[in-house]
Amino acid sequence: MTPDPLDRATRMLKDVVANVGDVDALPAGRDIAVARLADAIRTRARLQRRKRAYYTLAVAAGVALVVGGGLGMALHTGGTVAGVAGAHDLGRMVDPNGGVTVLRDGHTEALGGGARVAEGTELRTSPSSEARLDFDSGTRVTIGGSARVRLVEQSQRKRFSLEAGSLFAKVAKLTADERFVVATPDAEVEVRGTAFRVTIVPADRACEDGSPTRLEVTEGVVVVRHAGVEHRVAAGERWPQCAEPTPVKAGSTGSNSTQGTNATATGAAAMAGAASPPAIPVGALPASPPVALPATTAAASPRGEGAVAAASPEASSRLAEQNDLFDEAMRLKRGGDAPGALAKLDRLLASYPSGPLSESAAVERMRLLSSSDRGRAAVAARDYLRRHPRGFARAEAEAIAASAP
Amino acid sequence: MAPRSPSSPERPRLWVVPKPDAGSAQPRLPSPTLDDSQLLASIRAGDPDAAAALHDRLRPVVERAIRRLLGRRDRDHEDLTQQAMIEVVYTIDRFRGDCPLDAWASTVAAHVVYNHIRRRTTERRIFDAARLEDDDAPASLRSLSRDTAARSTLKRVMTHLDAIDEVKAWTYVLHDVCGYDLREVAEITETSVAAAQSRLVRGRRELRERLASDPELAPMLSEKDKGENQ
Repeated sequence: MTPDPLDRATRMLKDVVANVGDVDALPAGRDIAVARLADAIRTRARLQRRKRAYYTLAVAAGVALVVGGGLGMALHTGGTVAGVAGAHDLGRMVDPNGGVTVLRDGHTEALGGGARVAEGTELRTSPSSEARLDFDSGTRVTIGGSARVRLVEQSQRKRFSLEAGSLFAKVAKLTADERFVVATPDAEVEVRGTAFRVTIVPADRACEDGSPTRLEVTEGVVVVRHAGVEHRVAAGERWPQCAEPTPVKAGSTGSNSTQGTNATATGAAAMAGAASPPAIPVGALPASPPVALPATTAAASPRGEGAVAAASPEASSRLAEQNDLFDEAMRLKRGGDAPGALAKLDRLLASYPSGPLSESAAVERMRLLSSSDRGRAAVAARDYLRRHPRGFARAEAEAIAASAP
Repeated sequence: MAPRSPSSPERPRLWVVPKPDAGSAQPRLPSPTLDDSQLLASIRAGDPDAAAALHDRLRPVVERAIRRLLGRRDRDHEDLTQQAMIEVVYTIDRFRGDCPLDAWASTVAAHVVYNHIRRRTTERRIFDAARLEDDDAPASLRSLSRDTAARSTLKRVMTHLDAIDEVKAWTYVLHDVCGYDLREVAEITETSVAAAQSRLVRGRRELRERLASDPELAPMLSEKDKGENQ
């Protein structure tokens, strides 16, 4: 039988590797070797401790993530009024004055600030308070005083039922499958790219078959669907044409208005092609929802029901200027130009001390000063408290005033 | 000397280090005698006092493993021994006690040698023919060295081994020549057991083909075989 050359070669190689000779257990360099091993043992222990510390940190971070995620989910689902949550953009409640009553399934619920409000919830404001719903999309809905609003649908289709009071809506640009609708007892206003205000007033039989709905458009075009007929209402027009300008005073019971951007409205009577009515006195104020219900020049309505906003082109242009000044100030502030931002705010406050943005401007000015000049900040804070004793930044102003040297 | 036998499950997992014989030389730095479990526990606890015991316990094992692969006169021998001992410390958590501590230390040492040889820019061969010229070689090898034909045969085998793919050659040497089992070979060469098996089979086949096709080597191996049989 021919021997396998590999077997023979393997055997020879084994003989070679077997030749390891005598191994000295205590070689000449033992002390050095032991010292190095001791160092290695210490280093390993140190690395192990560090590893455990990292592990502990990682676990802590994981726990924080889980807890944070849970809290986020809780907030996303609307806190105490979660209801049907889903992945839809739910409005976050801002209630600076604490005058909002939240009802769900007929029961009053406490709603923490910042909680998400799910569909099916009804919000009621007291006569002297306002509430706001901020959506992640940028949409902002401000509910005026003495209002009653039900969030009928809060999916991609946002539908609000305004039963009393006023509602101002600044709606972010909608995608093709999104809708934003405000329903009144007899009409629907749908947002599409406009700024508008819808108001509910006591019915006047002499006007539009007694419809209590009043629409005033400040930007773009709104379509009113009423009684099966669609009416196109352009900026500066109102519907019904026969209606008087609507009252906009926040908290005035019985005077209900809705304003918004990107709007369409629907109604019953054919009002298309209506002649341009007097200009609407107010417009959407993109950066200041709580003050965006501008009770500009008010006058008693013919029926004596609250104030009626006087309409003038000058008022609109002044409002636009205020918006521009405030926006520019905020832009400069974001860019780190505090002096520039202060100059813009000072100009805004000097030119429009009673304007709708005056409170926001005063607050921003106070905040800017607090980081650079505490003395002036304290003066600004005290001035703010005097002018706005129930202002939304009252606590902040008090703190700044108290911390003054 | 027979190649290192693979670990068997019947053997005790933890060995007791025997005390030195009365007649043997006393250590210059006497270290406490710890059994393997105490030794491992001390190292894992970060006790530097266990260094001496660890050294005396595993140094011979590591030394033998390195000598088998590199011979006795490799220029990096001392460094590699130190490196392997330190590597044992750093990887001690991977030792689960499913084989004797000696086998574990030997595998770690072989891994250190494997990486070291592969990093070398020269002398990357597993076997260096120079080890055959070792004056300190034991009698068996010296007798082999006196046999010119046998030495020539061995050198030629090493040349063929050097010619085949490096990782296959390593796998063959570690498994068939040095006696590491496939799992240990996989650990040493940082691969899976399946890959080690595949490399072993292919390495054997390539080496066999080369040896069989060498016209000068075939009669040498046959003669040696005949001589052994006589």
